[in-house]
Amino acid sequence: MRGGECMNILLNELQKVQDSNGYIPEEDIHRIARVKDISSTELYGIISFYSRFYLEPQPEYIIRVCKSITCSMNGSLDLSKELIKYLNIDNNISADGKFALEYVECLGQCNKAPVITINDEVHGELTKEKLLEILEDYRKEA
Amino acid sequence: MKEKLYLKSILSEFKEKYDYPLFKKVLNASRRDVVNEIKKSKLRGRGGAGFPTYKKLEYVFDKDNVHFIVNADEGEPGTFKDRFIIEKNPNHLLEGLLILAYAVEAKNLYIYIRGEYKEAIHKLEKAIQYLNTIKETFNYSFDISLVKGAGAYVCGDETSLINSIEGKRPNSRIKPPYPTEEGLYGYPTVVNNVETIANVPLIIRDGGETYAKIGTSESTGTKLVCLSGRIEKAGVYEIEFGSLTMRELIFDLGKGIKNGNKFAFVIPGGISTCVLTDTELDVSLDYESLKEIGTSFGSGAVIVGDEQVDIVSVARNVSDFFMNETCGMCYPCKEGNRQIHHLLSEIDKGIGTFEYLDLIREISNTTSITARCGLGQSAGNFITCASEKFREQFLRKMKVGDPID
Amino acid sequence: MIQLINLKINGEEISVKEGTTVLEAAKKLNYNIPSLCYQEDLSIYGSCRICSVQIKGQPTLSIACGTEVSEGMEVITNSERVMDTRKSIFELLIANHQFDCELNCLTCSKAFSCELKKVAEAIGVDSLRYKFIDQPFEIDDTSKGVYREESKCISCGRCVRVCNEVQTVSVLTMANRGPQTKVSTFYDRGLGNVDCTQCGQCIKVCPTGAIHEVYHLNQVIHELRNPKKHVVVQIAPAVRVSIGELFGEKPGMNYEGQMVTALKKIGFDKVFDTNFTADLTIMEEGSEFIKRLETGENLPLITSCSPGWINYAELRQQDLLKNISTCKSPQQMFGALSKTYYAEQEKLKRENIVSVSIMPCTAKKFESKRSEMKDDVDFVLTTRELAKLIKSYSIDFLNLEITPFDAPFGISTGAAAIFGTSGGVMEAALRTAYEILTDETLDTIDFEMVRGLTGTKEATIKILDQEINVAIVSGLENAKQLLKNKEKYHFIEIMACPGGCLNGGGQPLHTDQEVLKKRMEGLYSIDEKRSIRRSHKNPAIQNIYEAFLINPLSEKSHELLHTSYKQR
Repeated sequence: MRGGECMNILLNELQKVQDSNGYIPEEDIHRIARVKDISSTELYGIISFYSRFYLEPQPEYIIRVCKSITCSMNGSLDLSKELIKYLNIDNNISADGKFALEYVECLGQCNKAPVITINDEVHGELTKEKLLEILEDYRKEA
Repeated sequence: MKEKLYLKSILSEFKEKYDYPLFKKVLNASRRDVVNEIKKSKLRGRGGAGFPTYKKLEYVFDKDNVHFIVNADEGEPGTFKDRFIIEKNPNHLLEGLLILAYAVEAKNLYIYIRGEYKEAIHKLEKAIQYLNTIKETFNYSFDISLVKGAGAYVCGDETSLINSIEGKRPNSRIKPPYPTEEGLYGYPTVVNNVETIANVPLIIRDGGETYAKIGTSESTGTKLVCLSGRIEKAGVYEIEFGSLTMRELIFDLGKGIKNGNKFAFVIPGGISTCVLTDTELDVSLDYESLKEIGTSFGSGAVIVGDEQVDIVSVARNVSDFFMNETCGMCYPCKEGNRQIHHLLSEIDKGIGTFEYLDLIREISNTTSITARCGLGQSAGNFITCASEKFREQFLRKMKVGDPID
Repeated sequence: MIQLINLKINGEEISVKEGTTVLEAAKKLNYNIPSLCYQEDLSIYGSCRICSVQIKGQPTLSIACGTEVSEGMEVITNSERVMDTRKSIFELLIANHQFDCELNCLTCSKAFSCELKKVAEAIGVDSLRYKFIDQPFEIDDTSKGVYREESKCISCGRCVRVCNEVQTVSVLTMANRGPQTKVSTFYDRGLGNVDCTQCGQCIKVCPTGAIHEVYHLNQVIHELRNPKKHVVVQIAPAVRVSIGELFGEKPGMNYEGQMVTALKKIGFDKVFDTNFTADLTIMEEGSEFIKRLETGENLPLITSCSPGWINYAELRQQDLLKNISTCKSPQQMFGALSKTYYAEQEKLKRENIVSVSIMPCTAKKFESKRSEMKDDVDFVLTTRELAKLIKSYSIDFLNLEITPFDAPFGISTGAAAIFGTSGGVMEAALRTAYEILTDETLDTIDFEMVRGLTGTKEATIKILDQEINVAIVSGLENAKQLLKNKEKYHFIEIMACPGGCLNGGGQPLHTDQEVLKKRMEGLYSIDEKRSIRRSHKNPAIQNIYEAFLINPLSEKSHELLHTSYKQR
């Protein structure tokens, strides 16, 4: 009879590590693999499947631009160009190193298309102006 | 034309300290009674497959150690109804879950929710926390584990979901055996969509027969339709099956196309369903009518496009989705989606030839009969359908000569 | 009561045991349904979908390898729909298997054994309409024994499964998702940077040229062409009963004489037999065993001639390093003697001797480069590389006359010959240890109870008044399990490859139990026919002790024939 201990579930355990470190460090992979009685290699193979698990440290803010059908119909890709310009993004990282840019598939917020998330904070019904305002706020905070 | 506020009205009755009266009602009845009500209601799965819910319950009814999983992975583009349900009233979902769990005597309950749904997760965690504090008041023991997804659409497929919970690479499994036979950790497992489960308390409250009077004889109850795209009023609309047409949904409820643009196409049930043109808008919104005209209601994600949307780009966008989201295990799906994406990219860039459309159709046919799971089997549906119904748009972008059929 | 299921395949009726797959049932009717990811002895993977068949009543096709028969089932394996679908899948798969001027079927190392060709023929592929889409393929050349080329990988998953399920070393995995899905190592660091034991079982199951041994062939040929170099070669026991297969011969036929002839024609200065140093190993290890029995220390004694096992122990079983025999493997003992004793005898300078070995093994390539081994063996060729060498010199191998091995390192016993199969080292050691300890001659020296291809074998031998418990394991998973109870035993033989060296990473590919059995029988047949079958009765061995080494475990022996291990 399972004790409802959510930490028994690999996904949750990995998410916990990811939440405290911003990524999943190698030592944690070895530790968790030992506990789960699987090889570190197999665990690496599992982690690499998921888009939201990172094996390397990430910048402070991860901007995810939805590129799926509804958002792209509503200009999300054009907006992302504005984003790239404003934050001076090259190779998916901003010039100041604080923002990472990712294109992701449907975030389930299609009623507010076009949508981006910044560290999972949802920003929808974006226009160029609204986007730049939001970015400026984050910039100030960063 | 109005919405039918049935599920939506019970959802709006959210109470933080909810005491689960419908679950308590069910605990005084027999398990068999519950299954019978579900059977009478003719409830069908709302995740996309439309499978009669009672059949899964029947199948595991006499089995031991049944596990129950709520599929809240909602990754189908254009779908946001499950998020709506959970954010509005997580207790309602939990009550539906408990009722079904009782019916099949499942004690180990899991809710697999996509990691991106931060607000829904937060609300659900609070609801489960509260539920755990009143557990003793029920004459039924259970454990609910909340599992957070990590950004993989394929985990919405039953067997991939199970593998994901078990801590394996979430490839789909070879079927048979099906989850109801051998599922999570090898136990008989029932996997149901959030919206499906959300209908259950209503069935208990009103009785299966009454529930079945709503909708049509084959599509009973209501559907939470997710209207999005180039629509004026995007959102979740609750409609009674068979009570309105696609045209009415788009132009009455949805208030038509944004900026007064001209309608071009609508995808009725998510990107694995066949697209509809302006001549097909008078189809009634229910499972059987949509099936009859060669498409499907799927998850209920109604995505509307206007004349400014390039359908070829949309097709390429859809192929990009499937290419990235396939688990990558079986050849037809991995290589097929890669090739379809490549061919569509070339067409989109203006360097394709019309043979490409034949190749795309062949790949889609091959994958639809050989892929391991639903993702692969239906990945080509929208694309081949769009290339047929909007052939002109595709041919217009071709490299060679005068496009003649 | 085994239930029989009746079904029809292509209209033909057949009854098979419950639990049989459609693929197996079809085989009984002589329909070899093509497949790629399926591999006997490994779990069903179901990824290639090429074995798809039509089962009456099913809307989609079903995979024959993963579908069990059911009563009244009607299967069609050759309908137009099925055959067209198979071609379509194959075309899609091939589109990602890069063909260009550099990477093509003529230059590929697996040109003549590639399973894709066999499957293409079985499917009747007649067009390839999809273009290759550029991807960042990499080469993994980090390992000394095993080499990987991503561009040829078709992600059938066999290598991952054999590493996980049979060897349980688990250094390979599928990584990523979607179009980036690929076979990878931990953080994609490469086999040389993870706990790979170099056993090469992954090579044996790979259908394409994506994994193969690190080639030493060109370097060997280069040395052969250098007039200043004196090139000697030693041939391992298992090679001689397998080399014929690569020329179309049945497995298990002894071609040692022809190999000597061929190598002489190719220009090797001397052709020696690893079996000689196998006998030497028995002398040293037998003495070591007797000593440990006397003191009772560091028992059980564990054999050390399998470098795959040594790698595994150094990486994962470090507490057992003290139990492992300090004896070098026969390959390395030979290398040491070739550069010292032999050099002296022939009045050659060490730096002018090139010592080559021909092994059924890929881990031996790693072993030869260990710093402890001081480059005593310069290059290691697998059985497969030997075949390539012979073919590239246009030699009609099967029709060659027989030439004996060169003296003095060409004389060996039957005990040495059986080193190539699981249980062989143990039996050879027991023959000698028994007779030395009891000072008696055995009536029968066939220790049947240690023979056979089973992964784990146990036996108890009574020597004087003591019951000696021995165990013989092959395959690293079996070793791992057995070692949990190691205290039970006095002596354990461990071979990394299931079945022993005859199933080594350097052997002819795509074998099954039948082939392995024939090779094994070939080796025992050589043993039977030898006039001398006990290592301690080998006159050349007796000579080398008299003339050079003095005694087993002497200072000289320790200097040249023994080694040490490290924790990695």
